[in-house]
Amino acid sequence: MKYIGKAMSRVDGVAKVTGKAKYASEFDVKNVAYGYVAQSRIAKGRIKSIDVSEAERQSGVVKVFTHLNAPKTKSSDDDFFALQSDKIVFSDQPIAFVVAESLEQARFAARLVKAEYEEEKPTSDPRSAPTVDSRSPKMRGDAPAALAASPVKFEAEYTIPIEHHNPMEPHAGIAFWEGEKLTIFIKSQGVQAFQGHLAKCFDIKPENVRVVSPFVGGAFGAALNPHYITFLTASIAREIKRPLKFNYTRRQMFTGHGYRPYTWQKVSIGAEKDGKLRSVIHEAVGNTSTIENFTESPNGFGRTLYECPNYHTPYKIAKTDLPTPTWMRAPGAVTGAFALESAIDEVAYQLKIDPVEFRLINYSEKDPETGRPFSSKALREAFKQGAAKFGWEKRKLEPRSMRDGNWLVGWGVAVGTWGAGQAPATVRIALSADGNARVGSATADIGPGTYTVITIIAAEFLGVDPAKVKFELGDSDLPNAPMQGGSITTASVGTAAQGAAMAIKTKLVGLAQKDANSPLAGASVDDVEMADGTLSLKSNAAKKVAVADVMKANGMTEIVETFTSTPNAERRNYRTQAHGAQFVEVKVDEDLGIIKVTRVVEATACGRIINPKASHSQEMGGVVWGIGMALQEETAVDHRYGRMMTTNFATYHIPVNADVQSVETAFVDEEDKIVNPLGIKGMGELCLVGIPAAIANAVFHATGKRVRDLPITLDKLI
Amino acid sequence: MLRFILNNQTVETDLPSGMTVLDFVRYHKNLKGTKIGCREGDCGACTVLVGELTDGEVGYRSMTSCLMPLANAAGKHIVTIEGINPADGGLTPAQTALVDESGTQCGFCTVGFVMSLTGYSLSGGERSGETALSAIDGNICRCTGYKSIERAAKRICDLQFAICNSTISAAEVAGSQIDQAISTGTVPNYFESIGERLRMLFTEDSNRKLKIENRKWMAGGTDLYVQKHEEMVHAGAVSLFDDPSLRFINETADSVEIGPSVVVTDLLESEVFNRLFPDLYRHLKLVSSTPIRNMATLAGNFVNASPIGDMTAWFIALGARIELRDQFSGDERTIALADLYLGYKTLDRRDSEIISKITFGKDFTHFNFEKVSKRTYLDIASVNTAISLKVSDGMIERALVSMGGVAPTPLLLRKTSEFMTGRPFGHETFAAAELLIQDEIVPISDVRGSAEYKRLLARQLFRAHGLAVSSEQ
Ligand SMILES: Cc1cc2nc3c(=O)[nH]c(=O)nc-3n(C[C@H](O)[C@H](O)[C@H](O)COP(=O)(O)OP(=O)(O)OC[C@H]3O[C@@H](n4cnc5c(N)ncnc54)[C@H](O)[C@@H]3O)c2cc1C
Ligand code: FES
Ligand code: FES
Repeated sequence: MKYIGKAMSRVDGVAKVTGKAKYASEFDVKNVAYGYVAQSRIAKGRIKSIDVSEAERQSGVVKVFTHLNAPKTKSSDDDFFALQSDKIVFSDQPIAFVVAESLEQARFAARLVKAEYEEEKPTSDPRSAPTVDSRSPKMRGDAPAALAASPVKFEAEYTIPIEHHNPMEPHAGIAFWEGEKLTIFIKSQGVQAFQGHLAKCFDIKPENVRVVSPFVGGAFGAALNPHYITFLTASIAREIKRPLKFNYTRRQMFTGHGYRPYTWQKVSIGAEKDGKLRSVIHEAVGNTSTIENFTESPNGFGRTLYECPNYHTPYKIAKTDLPTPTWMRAPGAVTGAFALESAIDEVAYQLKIDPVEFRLINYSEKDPETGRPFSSKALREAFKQGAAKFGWEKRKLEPRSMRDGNWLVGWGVAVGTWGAGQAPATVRIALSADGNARVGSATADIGPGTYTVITIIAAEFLGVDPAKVKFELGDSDLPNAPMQGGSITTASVGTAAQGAAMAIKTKLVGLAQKDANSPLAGASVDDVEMADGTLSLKSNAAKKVAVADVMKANGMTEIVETFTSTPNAERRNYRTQAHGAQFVEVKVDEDLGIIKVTRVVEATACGRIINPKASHSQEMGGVVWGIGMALQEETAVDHRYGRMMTTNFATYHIPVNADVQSVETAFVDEEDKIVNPLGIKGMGELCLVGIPAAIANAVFHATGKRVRDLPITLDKLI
Repeated sequence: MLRFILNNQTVETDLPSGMTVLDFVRYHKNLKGTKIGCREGDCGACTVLVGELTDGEVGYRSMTSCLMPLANAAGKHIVTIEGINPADGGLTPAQTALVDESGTQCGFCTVGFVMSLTGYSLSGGERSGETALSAIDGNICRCTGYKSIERAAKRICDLQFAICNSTISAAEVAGSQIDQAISTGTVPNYFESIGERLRMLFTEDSNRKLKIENRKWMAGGTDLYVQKHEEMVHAGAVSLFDDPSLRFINETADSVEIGPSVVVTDLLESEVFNRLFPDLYRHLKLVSSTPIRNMATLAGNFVNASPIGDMTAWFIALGARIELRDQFSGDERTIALADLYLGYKTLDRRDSEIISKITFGKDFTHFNFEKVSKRTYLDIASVNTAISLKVSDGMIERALVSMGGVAPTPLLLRKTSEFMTGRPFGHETFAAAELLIQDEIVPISDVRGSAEYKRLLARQLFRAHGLAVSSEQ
């Protein structure tokens, strides 16, 4: 292939380094007013009275909205909507929306909104909140009995605190109405999902809603849901009959859009003395809110990973007086992997088996759930390549057995897996006679490089230079595409782009063959190559015709084709998963407990890599997310008041450059003809999944201390 | 009215001098390249370059515009990405490197990195792979995992100086920093004229006197704008940041005198400090980040009175004395810095008094600074501590040990210091002194660690002092 698989710089790079890329709130809209939410001091109860008079008196204030005068949604979905009633269900819930001429005025006035509350005691600690059973897959075999009968038994509990996505761009947007038609520029991972949501809220036709989001400053799941701010901004723009803009502050980023839930997990493992797994019982409780039931099945993570005849994964959610959680990069999987991959490591130590070896002993050759084969699974190869790169064979088994001066050295390993999904997607391509192509689909690019990857695929199959392809996304008027989540974008939209390009080729070949003397006469589409503006026979390149001439002969200046791809039916006969092996070295200061992740080797088997440059960067990012999750990230909650406490970057730590030392990423060759024609599996989440466990395992190897409660901070080590 | 040069234009504004440069450029000048990630100085998305005339040359430093009042922009050159972008639509070396190395993903942090790397190319100081990385130590990226950005930073370092990983002093590089930056396309040609234009601004504005209407002072703004952003906009606080009479480092025969508005970077670039403190760079690297070090003044750190102020711990251990001057009566008095602290955020200082001078003696023979924080870099300390010793003939003639994060105020460990004074310089004295520390400190549990953990840190960091000063000999 000419472009696929070759490193290419981002097509949107120039716009980004020059500051010209327009993020949601940066569109120039005339006469815009600014909105700012005032938030509840209490976590539970109701608003007895609310006084906005002082706020409304401030200069520049246009109007203040509260539950008493704010528009109500017509949607019957159980999403949380702001200012619908006097009921308070979480701390920092919006109680008013102040609209002013400037952001500063709105923000200032918001502080002057006074509310009196009827306060109830909140339960924000999931450990004491009431739980409800959530759906989990049927038990495989009889796990409790098999556990009881196992010669080797192990059991431990693990917790992960609430974490926040913290994309660098806080949520922002601008909404305005032209008659009955709403346009909203807003940070979004799925413009059409937002469009559908708004259409329901206003009970208007989706055609009357346009959602635009060409550049998204990171999201990681935070902009999958429209959250309350989307309808709030749109509905109040309609009330004030003016364009309305909002910008969250970093602190509001902790209360406005969900988070990775707190999770408690217990893993019980039964094994043979030779290391063969007999039984796994992986229990989990995650928190949700009182208003919505958010689930993410963290404990399902290992069900396909290991050959284990008895497997049970009961899952509950705890109803807390906190905002509703949401999906955050590698939702569920990274949570489950931390517990299970730590536990596997613990059992391996118990049996004195090398942790890589232990995993190979239990390697699933086919899907243990269904008995179906994997469409591809190069995890063994990933182990091999990763271990070789890392130098794993030099590892000593015993904890505290390796040192570098005052630093204890530890090596750990873990595995990640993530479903290789695909959803229906549509791409439209307009190829003009001069060889330029306009490609469009309503997908998003929140940072992984979707602009570039779809450009590459389109260029490849149109046979044009990528510089001649212009791909547009992030506009609900474009052809349908799924949300950018679950690492399915390239597989879904990429397959559609390939299909649309092929459709153009088919059309052109057909048009060319209308001419009885065509050099392509009698050839099938597959016999023809389309490249650099010509159609030629693969068997005889001299037999060719220029695309421009074909179009001209048919009186056309461009050809437009729209193609919808759907996951192929054959996938159902297989299990489609991507896998990766992660090797980590940590150094721990024996006296101070300071932990440094000095080396990470990540070997990933995720099908075909379209743009290695972007993919390596994406992998690095995932590794660093794992470092943050393992060592730093925690949204602390003050359970007395049900309030999130660490709501800024000074207290909610995410890794800085100096925290990141050597990271190597490698992609293992994996050909997969089943998942989709291009063999794409996706990797944006997979790259993170095993890292926290690998770090925890390395810390144990270094110190002999098993930390089962994230994050692993210095004080937990001494 | 405030005047300064914004990119290639002289601007005049009557907006409140307490408004941040960030709000000014984004909302009043519609320059949206500068991003907002936190408004608290933590992320670097809002980084701008600030050029200032010193000794007739324009020197540039990076600063976080979200914490910078317009007052501190007066008479300077403020540069946003729009003032860096080449007019011909091309890219600067930093921009090219970031694109080529895949150093931008979602792009929201990217402009901040471009500004920091450009600031690095324009600034003085050591040139090495390490310093190139420390130029971006205040920029957070949530997407890339930094490795690609690091490669870009190294490329910039290579390009500007054809040397990376080994160091070369800026003085060895021919031509002024700015000429060189223009020739490599790092900044546009108009930078050439900025020196002259700033001189004109300066002469026209120099007659205007600081108006002192109330007793509110500010300096770099890095504490005030985090703590009370909204109030500051209209507070009418007088900025002491640029007053030349408050920015100096003078060496006398036996002491060093420093102006209160000296920033941490000034120390890093000062010949005196580098001579007196051989580990200066290693120590100060643990203090905030490059843009914050460019703004954070010593007096601001002292008066903010955080129990874990790093420069406070540093100067207490030097036995520093501060001159307090009443801005209304003109009265002056001098006290020991350690005596400034009466209780949690309560100071022996009247509102009308400013710190006007900081003095410390040069007769110490050993100095060390240690800090542990949850995140090693760009974080407030859990515990910090400094020590200075005057040793002669194997005896400790004077010892001063400070510690932060272990009491409501920054502490001079008086008993420990007294105990060590007059004893032999050696392991035994340290071992005995270590026990005294535990009686002098009263740490509490908070987000930075439990009380026990802080006690443990206090012991370990004091041991680290012992190791550091004994290897210094
Ligand atoms: C991201 C970030 C990281 C940080 N990291 C650290 C760190 O690692 N270590 C650390 O110690 N601090 C850190 N800080 C805190 C801060 O940078 C320092 O305390 C800084 O030295 C304050 O100086 P300033 O000039 O910005 O003070 P300002 O905010 O301008 O003022 C602080 C106080 O000092 C008063 N003041 C200023 N000058 C005088 C004077 N001459 N006389 C009397 N009063 C005066 C002001 O009125 C105000 O009350 C950090 C801050 C940020 C935003
Ligand atoms: S906006 Fe984050 S440092 Fe200024
Ligand atoms: S590229 Fe997204 S935050 Fe850096």
